[in-house]
Amino acid sequence: MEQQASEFPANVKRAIADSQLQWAMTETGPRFIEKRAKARANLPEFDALRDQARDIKDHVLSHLDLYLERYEAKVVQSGGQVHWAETTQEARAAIISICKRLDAKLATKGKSMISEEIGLNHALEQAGITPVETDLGEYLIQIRGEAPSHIIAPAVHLSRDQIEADFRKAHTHLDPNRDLTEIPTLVEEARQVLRQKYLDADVGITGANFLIAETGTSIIVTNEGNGDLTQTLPRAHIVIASIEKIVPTLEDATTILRVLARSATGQDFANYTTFSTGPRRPEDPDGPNEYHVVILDNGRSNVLGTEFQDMLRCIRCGACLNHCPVYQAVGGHAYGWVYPGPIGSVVTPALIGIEKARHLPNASTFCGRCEEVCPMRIPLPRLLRHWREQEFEKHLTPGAVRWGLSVWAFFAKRPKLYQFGTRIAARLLNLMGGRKGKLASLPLAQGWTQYRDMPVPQGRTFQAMWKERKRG
Amino acid sequence: MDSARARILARIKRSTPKGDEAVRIAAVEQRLQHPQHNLVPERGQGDEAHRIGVFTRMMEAVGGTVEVLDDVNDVPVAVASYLRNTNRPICPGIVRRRSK
Repeated sequence: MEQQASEFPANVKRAIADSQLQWAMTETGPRFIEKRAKARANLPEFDALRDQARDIKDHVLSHLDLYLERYEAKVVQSGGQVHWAETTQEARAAIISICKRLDAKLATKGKSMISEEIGLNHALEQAGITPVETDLGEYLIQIRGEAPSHIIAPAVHLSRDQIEADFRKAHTHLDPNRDLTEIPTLVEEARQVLRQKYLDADVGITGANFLIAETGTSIIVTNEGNGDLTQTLPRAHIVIASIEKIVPTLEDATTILRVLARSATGQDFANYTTFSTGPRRPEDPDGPNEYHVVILDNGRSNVLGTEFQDMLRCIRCGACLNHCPVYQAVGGHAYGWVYPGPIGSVVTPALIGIEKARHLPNASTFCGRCEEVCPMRIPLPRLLRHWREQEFEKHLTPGAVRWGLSVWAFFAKRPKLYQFGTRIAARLLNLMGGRKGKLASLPLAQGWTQYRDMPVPQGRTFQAMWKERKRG
Repeated sequence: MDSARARILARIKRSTPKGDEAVRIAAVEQRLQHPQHNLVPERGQGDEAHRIGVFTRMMEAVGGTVEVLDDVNDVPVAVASYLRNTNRPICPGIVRRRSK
């Protein structure tokens, strides 16, 4: 998909003015938070499991080359094939080459963020292969020609009315007078339409939540069972996954699974957790004749060993999005590419370059909720700060901001002058606020006062109070 | 693609912490050959009676019911009885298939 991360400021303006989007975000956001909190409260060992999950991934990242080699050997041993792709182009080429060899015309797809990252649907269409998304949310955004707006709930920005209108437009072969006023009837219609696609598909393409080095197994986690039909019914199953999806053993995958669904949807476990190891064996009642895994790098190996390495622990649960005040205000499309929210603001600059994505690390209040809820304990605010440092070092920050920062730095490096200045500024603002105690307009802070009044500083400065308490 | 494989693995190797390669290999072998037992939540441990109790509690929490039977052969009767007692018909599809 075309990336528009550099359009973030304009996208945000549009998102804030979009009343339908604002309604959708208000409606769904709190539910995710509430469900996760309940799931966490019901499992006393939740935080200990987060520690273990973090340690597992850290161990993997320190031995990633060895685990990838072992994983590949195990896939081959079970009759599958592994294709390595350094770039998105190579990943697309590998998949299309398999499809062409099989003379595939129709490919069903399970939900995969990597497939979005490599722009697979467009490439398949260009090659004469029709891709059909089978995850309901992905199916909805496919028929709308949109990108996902959330990592686990791609159509979270849509209302029931919009979905009804889209179905009527897309499913013209069905009775135009049918009743689509209830959610179950919409789901039933999608099921009916997709059921035949599963049977007709030549190739099934899925992502992978985990690749297990011990067994050469790929795991997908879904709530609709669409992944199972996608990967077992067609002649070939193609898995597309990035290098950091490796875990050493089944036991390790199980540990991370304990925190995945709880963090994502607040479920103890997703409805379907499906393990695939190789193609159909002679004694198997069903399954694909071919099993392929396309392993994508796309810049991730450059992140290893850097201050950004921790981002490779991400298991794409979406908890950081659900708890981010910025994401909840602007939705996922504003971020302009595949990965929105705090993790997107860290991953996107790593994959497409800070030059094209410099706005994203600034889309944070540093409130720290993302780090607080991350099941893999990724220090997201710290990583965002590193990107801001790089933005500054590469002179990507606009002149006015650089000037403002240098003025602030001048005072910050001179504590006495800083304290004196803040005392004067606080008193001045207090006087300007008058009886109301608020400022309707303030030079250099119109971005704030355009939408709300600025409360004037109350009492003395923090420094003064700190000094007094230390004395007392 | 083979060269892609070599380049990816070489980049990863360059980025891994510098140290004795034999130690890294041994750590991976140890983990794969002797998988460690990770944390199992307390509610998933204990004897069979405890685990059946936890299962029953969680099943009932999502609106399910649980009946413990002594013999696998008692299952059809228990299912039929459940359907009768809850006023649910036996699935016509099953009846048709059986009668073929």
